[in-house]
Amino acid sequence: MLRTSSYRKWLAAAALWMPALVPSPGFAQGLTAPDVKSTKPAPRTADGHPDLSGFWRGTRDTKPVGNLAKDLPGLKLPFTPAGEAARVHNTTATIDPESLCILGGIPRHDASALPFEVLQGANKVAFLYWYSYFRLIPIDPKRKHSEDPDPSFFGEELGHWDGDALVVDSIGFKDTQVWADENANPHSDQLHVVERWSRPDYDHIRVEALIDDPKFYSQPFKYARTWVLGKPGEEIHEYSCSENNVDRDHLGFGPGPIRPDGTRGFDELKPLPPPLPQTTKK
Amino acid sequence: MKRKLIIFAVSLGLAGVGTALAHHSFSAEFDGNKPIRLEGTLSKLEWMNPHSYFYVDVKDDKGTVVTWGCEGANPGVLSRQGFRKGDVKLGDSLVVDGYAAKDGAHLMNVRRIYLNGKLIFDGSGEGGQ
Repeated sequence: MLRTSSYRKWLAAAALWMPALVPSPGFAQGLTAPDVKSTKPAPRTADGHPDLSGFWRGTRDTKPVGNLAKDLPGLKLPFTPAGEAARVHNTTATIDPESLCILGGIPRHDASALPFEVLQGANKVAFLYWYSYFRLIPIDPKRKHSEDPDPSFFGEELGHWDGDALVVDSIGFKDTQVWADENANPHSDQLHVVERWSRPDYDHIRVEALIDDPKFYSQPFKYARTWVLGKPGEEIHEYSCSENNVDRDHLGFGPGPIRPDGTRGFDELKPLPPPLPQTTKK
Repeated sequence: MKRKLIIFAVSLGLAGVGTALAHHSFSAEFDGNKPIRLEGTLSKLEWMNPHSYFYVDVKDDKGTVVTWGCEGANPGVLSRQGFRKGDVKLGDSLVVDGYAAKDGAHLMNVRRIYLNGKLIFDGSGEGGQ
């Protein structure tokens, strides 16, 4: 039977029950992880560079997740008028491209809470993402950007080593069906991203990115983030996004409400019905 | 069949951490002001991406059966949490708590699943990302 009766009777009961059902911070989520102190140095490849390879999970200290303005005062991005108009358009007239199985690209993936995997070779490095797509970055200091690169979601990416940092310089981005982060902030086809990837110790990978988009942002801005190494054996699994996208015909525009802390989502959900009594506890 | 409780959610105090884990934002499809409880029979299980779907046949007071699609996390997430597709089977009697779709479709975002009255999945602490 479908119960649609008033919730008044159980509001108080739910409030009492909810804390009991809230797991401790030790829950094994697998997608994000608590930060750790590392006592081991970063591994190095045969050619002496830090080896960035690994399965990397976001830390729960990364706040706000999903927001490119994370490191800016007041979480304010320096929009140009065109950028502000694009933000309004994204939030009021576009469905999240990722929910329609369109590649997220960068810088969005640098802000995502989802884990990713890095496989580093001598001349290329691959970033493998949760949604079964990847970026493959050549490592070649002599290589130059094309005059007119084909627009793509990850851009035309060129890698080279600068000391212990792998620098990834990217231009040539698409300007439609893209959100620059989870909150529907925009980027244009003038986007230029320079990422400096490093492995400060065995258990961490870090990016320091400079994001420049003169069409939509009045000045370049920085975004930095650290992830922690996953457990041995963890790896990216198959994910066929359009296999059964039941939701696509029911999705509204934009990311939904943005909380004061800069993450997307409801501040408060109306409580669920009171839990059914359980005779045993696990 | 396993009978262990799967606690999927982050705590309320850490709700923001879960942001961006979902394939789509919760509020793009579901209404946080529409909590709902369904009682019915599992008629189909889609262990697929981008989300798992548990279809539950629910009888109303007149005996009419309505099939609800109950959206769970994707198989990769569920399996990492220890919830396997074999934990439920067609014909199982389920109680499902969650939030209904904004557009009135018979879809809901799953937060709790009870199998024969026993809580086997608990995402009640997850925020509305």
